[in-house]
Amino acid sequence: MPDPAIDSLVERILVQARIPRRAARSELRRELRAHFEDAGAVLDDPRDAIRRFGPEALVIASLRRTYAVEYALLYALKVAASVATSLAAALTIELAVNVRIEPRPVLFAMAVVVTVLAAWELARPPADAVRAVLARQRLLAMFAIFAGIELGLHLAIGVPFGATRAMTAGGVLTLIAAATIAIAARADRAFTTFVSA
Amino acid sequence: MDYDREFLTGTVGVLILSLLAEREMYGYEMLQEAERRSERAFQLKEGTLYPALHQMERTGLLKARWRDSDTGRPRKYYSLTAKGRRQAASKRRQWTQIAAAMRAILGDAHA
Repeated sequence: MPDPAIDSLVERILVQARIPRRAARSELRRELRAHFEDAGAVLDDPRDAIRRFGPEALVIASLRRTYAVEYALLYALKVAASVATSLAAALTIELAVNVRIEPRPVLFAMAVVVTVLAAWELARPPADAVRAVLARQRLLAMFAIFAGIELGLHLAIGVPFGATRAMTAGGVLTLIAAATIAIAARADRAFTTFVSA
Repeated sequence: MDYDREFLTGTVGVLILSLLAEREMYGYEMLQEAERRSERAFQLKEGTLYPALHQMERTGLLKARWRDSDTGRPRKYYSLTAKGRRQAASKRRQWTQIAAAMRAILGDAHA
């Protein structure tokens, strides 16, 4: 009968070790359980087996180093997929609103996508924070900021840009930012499932 | 016995290669064998063995397969690849030379 403390230790190691493939995690789980089965045959107290196993953090850090390259490649792939999907979504939104693609709004949309994704990767917000950002009030605030930026930029360069156009542009950029956040959150969930589930 | 961590750096790899140069073994068996041969002077933090085994398997020094152990339970047995055998021989030579040099130095200091 497996000891709950040992089972829990093995699962914590597997979740935190950042081993990208499910098959590799399953094999390590089987190997570590076999280890504790052998240790249990020699030692009476499961706590002795855990003590002899060594610090959990040390084992996790060593496993992370072992699988670091594979993990980094997968992480880069996740970011690339987020960027590509978000840019495609942004271009689709721009095309739907403007009918034809113009350089300035496209560049601005790309800047929004890149900024949102960079902030996402730096902050790695938890799911409840994402839901909070995508709440109606926050989206309204985002819309106001984008509309203000559009209006301000056009005023600064002396190009006429009415309030209606500024609000339309702000709405489009808010939609692009929200889509980018949703895509990044989905990519993160898929990545987490892949490296620890 | 607790040794200075600095002394043990790099020893896990040599230990694995040396033990597997004789026959295929699974993780716990290696730990027991190392402890028995060193008369319990050499006690690893057991969990650190598995990352080392996986690293060596990934770099092509070891290969692994599951098969029933003497107790009838399946265990993951590791063995050396051709690259691993070359590495084992090389490490063995290096350690023999280092040990001889250290013995000479320590012997001189006691003379």
